[in-house]
Amino acid sequence: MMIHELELSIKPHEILQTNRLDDLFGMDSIAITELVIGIENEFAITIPAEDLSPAIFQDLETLTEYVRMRLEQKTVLDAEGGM
Amino acid sequence: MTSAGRFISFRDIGILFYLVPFRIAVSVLPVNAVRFLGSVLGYVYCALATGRKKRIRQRLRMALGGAVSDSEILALSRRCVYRAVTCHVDALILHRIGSEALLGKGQITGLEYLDNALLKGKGVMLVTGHFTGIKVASRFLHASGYPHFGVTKKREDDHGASQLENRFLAPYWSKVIDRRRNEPVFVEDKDVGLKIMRRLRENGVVMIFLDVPFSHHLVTRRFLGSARAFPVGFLRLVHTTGAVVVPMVSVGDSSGFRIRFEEAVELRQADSGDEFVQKNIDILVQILESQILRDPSHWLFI
Repeated sequence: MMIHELELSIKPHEILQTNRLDDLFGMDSIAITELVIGIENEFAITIPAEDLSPAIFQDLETLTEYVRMRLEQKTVLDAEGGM
Repeated sequence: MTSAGRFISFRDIGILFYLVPFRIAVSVLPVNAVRFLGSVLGYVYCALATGRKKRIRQRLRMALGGAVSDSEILALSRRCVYRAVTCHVDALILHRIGSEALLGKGQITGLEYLDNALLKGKGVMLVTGHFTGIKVASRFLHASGYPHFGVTKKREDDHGASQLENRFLAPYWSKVIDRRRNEPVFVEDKDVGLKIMRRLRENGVVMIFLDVPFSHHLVTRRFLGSARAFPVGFLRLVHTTGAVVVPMVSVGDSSGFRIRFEEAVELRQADSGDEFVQKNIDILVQILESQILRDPSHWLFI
């Protein structure tokens, strides 16, 4: 998904080998915002304004952890809404 | 040898004078006396800056064509050079004027366009150029309760400046003058895109300067008679966030200013960011061109 959203010319395993996402984006901060939209569409979650900070995009592990946490919150909210 | 290779230039002397003795004088002199001093400096610079006036006359002629007489072009070029000085003086005066006093000096039109755009809840990109009243507009928005910031370039990254300016004078300028304005956001910041997105999602306002190529995404278009590069990264953000684009012009200074908000731009939709840019950048370039032609001597980047 990341490769598609950012139109990157690299292979998936190269992303996994990269420690910092900055290395992938270079100085292009607009690409990160396109990644935000891509993640939101892919996982049907919304990243709140206050969470839009470089901290969650610093590396793939942190980003994955954040998305997982959002998905868990969404599942809980959906379950509460369904009761 | 370019000025970037020099350690010091004549320009540095002017900047040093502005940043130290003049700035200190401004902090103690009555505001009207500072305005008078700024006016004198403006006329002196206008008399001395013959090369700059000549370049401005050439650009004005290219932009305005044959519809304007030589004497009008000459008068416009004088006003451009004069205002290049007085707007720096006004930047210092602005620090001393309270928000309430400032609001009383302004003539604001089209504010309903900004308010209506904010009602959509997706944030607003205010698109403008470097006009004389841009700092006043920023103060007006702040004082009127619109959460906003402008995206600008770091002063210390000027490739045409001397080493002294880039290493010492520009950082000092940023520290004592620029950073006193609210929340400066720099295009060089790695997270500038996230900062803009955050502000838009908070339904805030982001001021974008279309007349300078401060972006990693640029396109070149015909503009005022010659080719010019335009930043388009913000348009990709408009595409992803759905923010509303409202053109704005602000001319004048803290003694009297006019801010005009224009009707939100009807942008053409597209599937990809690149296509969105290609479909809409010409519309925005034309808007900026018409804003400048309406007030050419207030455009600081002529």
